[in-house]
Amino acid sequence: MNIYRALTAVLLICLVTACSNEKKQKQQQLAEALAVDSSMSQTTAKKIFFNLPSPVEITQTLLKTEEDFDANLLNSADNLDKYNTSSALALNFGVYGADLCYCRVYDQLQEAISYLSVIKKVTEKLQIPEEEGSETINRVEQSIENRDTIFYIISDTYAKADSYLKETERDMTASLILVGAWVEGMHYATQLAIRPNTKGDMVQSIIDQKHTVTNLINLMEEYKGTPEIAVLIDDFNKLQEEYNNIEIVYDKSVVVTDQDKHSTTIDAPVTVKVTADQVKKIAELVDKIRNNII
Amino acid sequence: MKKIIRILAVAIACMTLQTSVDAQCKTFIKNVCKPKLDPYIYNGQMNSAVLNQGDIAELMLTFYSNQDYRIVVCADEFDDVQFRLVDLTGKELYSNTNHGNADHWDFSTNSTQLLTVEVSIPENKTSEDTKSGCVSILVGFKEK
Repeated sequence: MNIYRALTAVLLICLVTACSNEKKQKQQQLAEALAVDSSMSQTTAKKIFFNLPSPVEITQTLLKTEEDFDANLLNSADNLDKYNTSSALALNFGVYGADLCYCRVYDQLQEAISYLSVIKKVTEKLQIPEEEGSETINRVEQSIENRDTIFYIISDTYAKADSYLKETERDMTASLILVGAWVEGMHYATQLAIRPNTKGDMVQSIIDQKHTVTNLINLMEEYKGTPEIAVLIDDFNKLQEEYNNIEIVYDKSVVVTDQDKHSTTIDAPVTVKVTADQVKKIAELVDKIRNNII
Repeated sequence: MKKIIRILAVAIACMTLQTSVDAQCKTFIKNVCKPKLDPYIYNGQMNSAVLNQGDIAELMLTFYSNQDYRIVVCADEFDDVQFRLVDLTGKELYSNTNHGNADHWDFSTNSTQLLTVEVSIPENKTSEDTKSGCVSILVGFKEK
């Protein structure tokens, strides 16, 4: 009889453990389903990761321009009080991160410091512990004049937040931060690209984002059960449709590997056919997505 | 009564084992893997999983033409992790099996494209026991 009671207790404990793993198993099943359905991979991968550019990377990639600094492109810090859900906070954590990078690229130190302050508040609202969030931000403030150091520290801040959120099974929040940063970066690029006398060639940078849109949709598909995310996915699908109208043709790639330098260079000539109207349409779609976020 | 407590203690230990494995994985990545990205800037996304021998993991990543990248593939239980880089057509652009199973490699492309980093743990052909361990794929970038 005692043995039966002990076995029952063990069985109950196993059931509890199974329930807590259910979410992880569902995520794994989704990843496996994506692996089977994806035309990009013929393997049956156990786990598929979709990465997006970080706030630093997206800003560096999209801001190849001689345009002057324009504070009107930024999301006002005053909007912070509008964000009451974790989704809204996460998205704008990303948006403000991109704004911080934008300010730093243009050496606008005062604006950069004000965005630091906003980001600190966002991390508190998202309940990210100080050592994973705001403590690192303090380092940014101390090193604000050194651009390279700043970008390392900003990346570190977002990395710690990403790691903490994933450890505490808040993967959706972690993903939305990157989505917000990407949207804000695209906002700068598209708004600058459609200006009448634009000084830089932003178009290629905008076209380059086609593949990131694919990853972004794949990343958010997992959370489509959340109404706010379903709306976002719908908008990103429309953006992807517009990108699919742009002709991008890659020629055969030539790969050169340097064993001594541990590096490989891929030379893949590409031909792009895009019209001003297509760029304008992309700008409109990005603007719509951004307005829903901020 | 003592036997029941012992059995319960073992069951609870098994429950916490998974949490402990995840925590160890994260610590391993932070202390061992991440430093291999220097001097590249970490892209901030933790791509880690506990894999068994014979498993495959993939990372879909856009390689921008204005950036250089470093891919670090790190594992705490396996010495022979294989990784390769393939394009959208499935063409293999790089495989670490041709370079002594290197655990990191630098990449650069002159046109932005979506590529897949495919990581595989070789099957154990000598034993029926299957090992498992923490595997992570880390990405670093820097402007050209």
